[in-house]
Amino acid sequence: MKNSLKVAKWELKQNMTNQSFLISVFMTPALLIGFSLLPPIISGDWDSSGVLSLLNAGLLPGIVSGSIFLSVLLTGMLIFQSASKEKKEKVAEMILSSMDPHELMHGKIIGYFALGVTQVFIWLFCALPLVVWKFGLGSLKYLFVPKTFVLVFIALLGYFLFAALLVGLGATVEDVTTSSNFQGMIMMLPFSFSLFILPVLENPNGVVATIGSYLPFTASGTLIFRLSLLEVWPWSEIIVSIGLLLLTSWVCMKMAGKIFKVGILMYGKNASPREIWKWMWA
Amino acid sequence: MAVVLEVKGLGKRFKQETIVDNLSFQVKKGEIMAILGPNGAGKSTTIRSILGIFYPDEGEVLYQGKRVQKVPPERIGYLPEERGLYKNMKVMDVLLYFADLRNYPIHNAKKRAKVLLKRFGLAGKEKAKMEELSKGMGQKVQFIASIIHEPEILILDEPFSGLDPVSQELFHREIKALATQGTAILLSSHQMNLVETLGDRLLLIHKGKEVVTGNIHDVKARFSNYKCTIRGENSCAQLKKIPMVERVEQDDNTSILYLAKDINVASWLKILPNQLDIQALRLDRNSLHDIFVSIASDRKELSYEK
Repeated sequence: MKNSLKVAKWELKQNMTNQSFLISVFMTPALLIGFSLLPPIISGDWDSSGVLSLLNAGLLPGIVSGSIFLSVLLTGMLIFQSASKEKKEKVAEMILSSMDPHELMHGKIIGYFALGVTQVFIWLFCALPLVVWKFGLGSLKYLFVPKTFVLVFIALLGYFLFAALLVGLGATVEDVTTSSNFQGMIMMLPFSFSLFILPVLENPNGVVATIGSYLPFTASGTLIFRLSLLEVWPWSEIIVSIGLLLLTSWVCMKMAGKIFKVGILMYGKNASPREIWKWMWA
Repeated sequence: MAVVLEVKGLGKRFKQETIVDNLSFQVKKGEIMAILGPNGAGKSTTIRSILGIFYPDEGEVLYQGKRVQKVPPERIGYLPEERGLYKNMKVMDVLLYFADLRNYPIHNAKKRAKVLLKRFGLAGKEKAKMEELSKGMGQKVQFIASIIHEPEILILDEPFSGLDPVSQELFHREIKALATQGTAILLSSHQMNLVETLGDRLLLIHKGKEVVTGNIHDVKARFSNYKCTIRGENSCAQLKKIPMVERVEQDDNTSILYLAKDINVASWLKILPNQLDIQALRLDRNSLHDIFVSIASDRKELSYEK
């Protein structure tokens, strides 16, 4: 555990001193806001009161957990890069002579967790004064409700699932540009929830929306999106999908550990799906 | 001298293939022990087993006489064969990270890093990013990273590969100095000439098996038979008839005669038959290099098998 924390600290330091990370922290929300405001501006019915009226304080828990989930997706990609870079730059062996591969993997997961949290705090730090200024201090009482905590919990579960998936995958890839379709597909998994955005918008309680919140890889995204739209929450469904999510995260963590252990020390080529399959059951 | 590290009956297999087979050796305090062998002989696998990166299938590793799964990380330094370090990080940060991983106190590490950087001609590069350094400088930083925590055992996997002659000389000197200060050093290499002048003892392995081991001077004495290289049109059978010739190797019109131990060179030259076609003749001793090459190229009749 001590070693994991050292790795975590190091990963955090590497990113915090990296300009591209700091740029992305500020660029991401700017881009999102830009894109969401662009359509009304282009179509000409730009009316600041109209757009802002869509925003109401009741959406705050959804927005906060949504931004956490966004941060999860971004740091997930970074953790993939980190594992693959460590393999490419061949430092893994030197590190593994002072700790075992599980400690290294857990260290990475914790480190990027801290990074994601930092990112969200930076966002909140910038956004909250604006919210208070626009809606008054009273709006904050919409934020600190049990719903927020459930949504944040779901987003965090999503992080551990995708972090495990991507750190394991990163250890199998040395050169991202030559990675196969298979690796590309896995990398898309965290974004698979977007398939359910439209059905959820149409009917948050529909069959498709329900399926989306049961499938572990789409569950956290779909649930956050869906629950922010719903007034009354289907608690039994939520508990079942959280359970499924927990189980899948645990299995993924175990599998990732096995893949990471072998993959990180393999030099010269990307692992094939077949090899990865063999390592998983070794 | 005290034995710091001992390997007993080490064995490692991947699938059906035996990579390392029943290997035993010791590394003593203040001694440089060289593992030699061609590529794929099992050197790196042996080293990784000692470090606990792999678990061996058979045998055990003893540290200070006690059986361990892996040598305590504070006590061991390791320079892997595959070189590389975090490209976008500063030299000092990288060094401190590796010191921290080995549980070495940070302020000592800072002081030591400065001293070592200076000794390796990298003074003033503390704040430079790794990617700004040349390849040779990068290797120096990695070497420093492997010794920053004052390890008791230092394992160097092909420390000289990819170095220019000047840096080679520097590494040579530093490794020697570390041994003098009492560090037990285990190094693997396929560059015989460097090891010949550096090592105290050697272990020559081929296909995972021990071929020769012992004090380097003894090994050299044991195997340094004379060999005679003759250029000219001679038949193999004719050459084999010459007394004291143990083995003949022929390639085009050049023949190498491997001579028996303890010959008197002058008297042997006198008994050479008159009808021999000699365009050129050279007589010298077998070097470790020859032994190494003959093992690496897998020739059957090797003098050391007798």
